[in-house]
Amino acid sequence: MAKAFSPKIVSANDLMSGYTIYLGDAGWTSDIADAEIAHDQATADTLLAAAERQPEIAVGPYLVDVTGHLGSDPAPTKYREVIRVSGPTVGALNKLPEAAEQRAA
Amino acid sequence: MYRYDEFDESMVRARVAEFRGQVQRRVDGSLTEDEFKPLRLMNGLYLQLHAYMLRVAIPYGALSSDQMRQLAMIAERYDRGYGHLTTRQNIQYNWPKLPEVPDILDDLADVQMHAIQTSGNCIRNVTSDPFAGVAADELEDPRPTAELIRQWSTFHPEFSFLPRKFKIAITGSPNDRAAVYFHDIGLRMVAGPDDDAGYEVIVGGGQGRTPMIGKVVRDFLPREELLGYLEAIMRVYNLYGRRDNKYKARIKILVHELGLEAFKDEVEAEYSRKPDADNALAEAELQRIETYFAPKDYETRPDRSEIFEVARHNDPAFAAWADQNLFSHKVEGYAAATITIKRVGGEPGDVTADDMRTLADLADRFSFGEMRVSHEQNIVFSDVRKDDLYDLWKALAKAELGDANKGLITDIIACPGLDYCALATARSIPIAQKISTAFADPIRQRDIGPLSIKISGCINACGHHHVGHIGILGLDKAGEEFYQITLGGDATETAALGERAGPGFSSDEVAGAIERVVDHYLDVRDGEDETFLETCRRLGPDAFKEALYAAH
Ligand code: SF4
Repeated sequence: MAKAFSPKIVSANDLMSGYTIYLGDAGWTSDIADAEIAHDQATADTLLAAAERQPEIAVGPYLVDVTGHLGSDPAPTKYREVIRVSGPTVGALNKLPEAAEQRAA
Repeated sequence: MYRYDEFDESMVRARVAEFRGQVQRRVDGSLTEDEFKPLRLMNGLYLQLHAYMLRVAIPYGALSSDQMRQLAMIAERYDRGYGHLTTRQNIQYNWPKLPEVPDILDDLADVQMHAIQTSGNCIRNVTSDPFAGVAADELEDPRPTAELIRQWSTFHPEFSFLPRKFKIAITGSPNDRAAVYFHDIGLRMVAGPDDDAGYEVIVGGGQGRTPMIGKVVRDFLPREELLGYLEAIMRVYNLYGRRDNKYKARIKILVHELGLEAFKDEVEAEYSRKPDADNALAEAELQRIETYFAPKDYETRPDRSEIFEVARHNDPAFAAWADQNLFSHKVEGYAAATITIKRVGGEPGDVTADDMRTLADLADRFSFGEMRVSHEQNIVFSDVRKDDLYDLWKALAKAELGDANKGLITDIIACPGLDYCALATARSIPIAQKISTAFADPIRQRDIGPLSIKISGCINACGHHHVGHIGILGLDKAGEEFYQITLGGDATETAALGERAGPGFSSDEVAGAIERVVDHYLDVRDGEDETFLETCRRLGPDAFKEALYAAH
């Protein structure tokens, strides 16, 4: 039996800030909730190819495995990607409101 | 301290201008990322998990107070108000933005600093003893040699595309505080047969996935022959070092695969051809450099300071700091002080802009306006009058920088790990925080005595876990962080690699496991003077296994 397809989204780093970004249906976003979820390999490939055509925005796009239940935000399955969503888990200075704002910008 | 001449200055400025153009061309689309990446790496600019990271070179860790103030300014203007001191005596910024990096590099150039060769397959920043030039146990000051190597290796056209990165460390003291056995090349300054100055040359040490202790290729190399001989080693490596497999590309693998004797023969054969070595020129340059490291304007003072002794007697907190954090100076009446950047529950090596300015101001007041970054991610004030130590400590304590934990269990080395690093398999900093919190009690720390914990977030071993008395390596096991513990590592002249204790632990279990190991040590040590490492050597790491896995 073929292995069940694990839903995927496209992530990269923003060229200017280096911040984590995701490909959404309305372009790149810093909010994973707006990322477009591919539920099959063909869609995943199409999304990745679209991302790769935008090197002026996105550096190093790649596919990220997520849990993608209908109606809920995509949540990465790998710990590395969880940290990319939340930012560093340490460093008081990383958590200043100003820094959070910058992240969202 | 070494000061740039006009040539150094114009080279660095030209490089900034060049990089500004490269950034511009990346942004306007004329350079692809594949073309741009090697260019930014050559200027110390990495792309990490959440942002760019700029690694700034601090040659052999030496910083002036003005440089430190500029680093503080950069942290505030371009970053999030802090920097991270690394295990290679450098500083990293975690949040610079690409279009601003050329401005940062210009600001660095204003204080004779740069980020050149802090990445890439070239000769990296030369590291040394943080007490270089002042240590009472020193044979000779290693800094002029370190500076000579820095100048020789900077932009060296032949060694800009080596099979892999290349790290050189040098110590002038028989007590190795520069981990020379764990570098691609380690140099120990030694006296020759006629008491002439020179080096013992050690090659092929390193950590990473294949840790190795360096091997001596020359017992004694006269000092004027250094650059010619280094060139011969580099040529043999450049020619035979493997370029087909990144994991086998370091010189340690070459030395290992070729065998020490065959490697030595290759080097000596290359050296006998005397590649461009002009010993007279190198010697003249070394002498020129030495003038920058002339002894400070020390006052003639008695070695015993009444002010110090009285303060030590009256203030137990100061006494604890003085016992733990001071180091013997070669000049009477002076001491070197380590300021640990290891607040309990904090991030090892992270310095805020406020910390940086405090350190700069205090260095001006108490240590000739200079300081050093140590590979233990601390700051050293190398030249403090003993009469001033109490005032210095009070000012440090006020800024929460006066912890008496140098070399103790909370003086933990940790790499950035999965909180920042794109190569990481697990986090390191939170593990350091949990352990330092568990051992926060200063009396307990002192009772345990010298114990170094070193933590890496992946097999690359930037946190030097192989040589920690207790080493912790973070790995990924089926998507979860998990940590392997090694025991008995030693980075000094009695170099040893830690031995793996057994199965790993989850992130919640690590601190408890370390507590069990330490409690066991306290039970079985042969008197209070036997250090953890000595007990570990006497009984063997296996003796700790039962304790380690007791409640597991
Ligand atoms: S040891 Fe690994 S995780 Fe830590 S800084 Fe080095 S590469 Fe990154």
